[in-house]
Amino acid sequence: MIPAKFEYTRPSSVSEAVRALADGGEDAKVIAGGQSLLPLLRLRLAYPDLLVDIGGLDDLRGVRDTGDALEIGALTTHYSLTRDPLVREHCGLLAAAASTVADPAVRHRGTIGGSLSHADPAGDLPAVVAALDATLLASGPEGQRSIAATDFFVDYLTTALRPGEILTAVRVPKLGPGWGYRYEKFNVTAQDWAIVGVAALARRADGHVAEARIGLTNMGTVPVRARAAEQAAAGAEATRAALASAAAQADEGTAPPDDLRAAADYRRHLSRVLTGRALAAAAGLTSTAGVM
Amino acid sequence: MSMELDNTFTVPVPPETAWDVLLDVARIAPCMPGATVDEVDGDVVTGRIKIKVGPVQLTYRGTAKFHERDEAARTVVVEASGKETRGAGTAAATIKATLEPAEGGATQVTMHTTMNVTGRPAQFGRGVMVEVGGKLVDKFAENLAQQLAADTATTTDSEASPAAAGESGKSGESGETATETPREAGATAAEGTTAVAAATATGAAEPAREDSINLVRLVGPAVLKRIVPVAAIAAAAALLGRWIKRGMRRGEKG
Repeated sequence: MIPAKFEYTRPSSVSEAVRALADGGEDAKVIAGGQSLLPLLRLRLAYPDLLVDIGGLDDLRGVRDTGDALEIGALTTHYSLTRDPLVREHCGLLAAAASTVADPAVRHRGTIGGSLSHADPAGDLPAVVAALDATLLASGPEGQRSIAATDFFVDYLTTALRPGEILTAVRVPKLGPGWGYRYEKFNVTAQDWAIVGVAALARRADGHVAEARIGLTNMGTVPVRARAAEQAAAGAEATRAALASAAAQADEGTAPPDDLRAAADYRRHLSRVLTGRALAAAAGLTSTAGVM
Repeated sequence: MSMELDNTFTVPVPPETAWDVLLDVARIAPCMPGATVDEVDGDVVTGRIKIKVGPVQLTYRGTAKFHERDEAARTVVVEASGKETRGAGTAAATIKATLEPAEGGATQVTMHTTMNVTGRPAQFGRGVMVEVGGKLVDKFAENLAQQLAADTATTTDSEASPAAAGESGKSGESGETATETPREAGATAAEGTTAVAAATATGAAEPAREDSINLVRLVGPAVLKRIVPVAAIAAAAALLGRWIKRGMRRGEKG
């Protein structure tokens, strides 16, 4: 289908983009890679009056090392994330998860900023940045501000971004030595959204898991941290049995959707099983894990 | 796709007082979140409901009217139906509300809603539409509770009823104005909860209304998943069509 009529502007600076967006108000929409917005436009489920194309803002592209963290520009594509040496070295979970997003065409166009701003709870990166304790940087009419990843996602397709604000970068603390990670994604077809996804990080010390962080994809209207399982995993022996037992609490406090793809109960079951697998891999118990 | 929803709430006024408010469709229709009243003709209200979930926008235009009014049983049945302004989808709801005396001179309102949704927004899985409908109706019940409480607290004489109805109509118009100043509209939507609290505090005769509701989860995660296959099928069909045409042309040439 052909999208409804809209105005289009392609600003050449962030401040220009912010102004255009603020002037356009509620009916203006930022477009970056367009991999989520274009299908909506074409189906006329979205019909903004103005598209602010930030694709020309090259400052927002690429990864910077800021010492104890990486600052990843919002326009960095999924493909770049999977290949970027800094990302792979310091927050490999992000590279691993980005490589599972949709298909190669989407990964070449889709951006981390777009994926996070779109805030689809079935998207892979929101749960990953939540697990990585990332901070999201936004620019708006009132200047810049940073938002913790866990505060950024407010509800289904809804973020803490205010009218006129643009997500400009994601600051991800570097993982130190001893950390392992794994993104477990369960779907029926390769390029599909996750029915459930689990982003796990574990720091191993002396045959135990000293610390664990778990983000869940598609287990509610926003990405959630499996805090109960994280606490249960902390201090647990680094064995499959011990981690599986911690993972049994993965769905605690979640409200997974019940739709044609999967029943809520099934999603709960998946979250427990996948968390067990992801933790085991992150703790170095399987050969497929990423280890820092 | 159809679904049924139940809501119960209590308002701090006796059933006789609440009943009068409940009978005024012009006053209860705007309690629907995101609703704009265009016209009030007796018992029939024509208006629009605008729903916004992230980038997804849906607008329904239609009417709401009384289907049944049983004073003895203190039960009203309101029927609302609308059509998507930018699509072929429809939405219809039957809301049955019953008033019962509660402790301390209050009224317990029991609402039973049956909702039917067709077209694109309905194709996204049952669970999803239950979420949307649930949110819409919850918000409606919340606004209605406020409307009943506020109206009965500030207006007691019968003269006030038409005036209040007029105000409701006006509020619809002001909703339109808000749409024309999008920044304000955005702020209103974002601060919906705050606005509600403010309305209660000032004892305004109408609940706070948003000109569009950011009804998150309108379409559950399944939506976007479904959109892509739909788009793919459409693209495939278009391609197929082209091939067939080409084939036919070749056939003609040959």
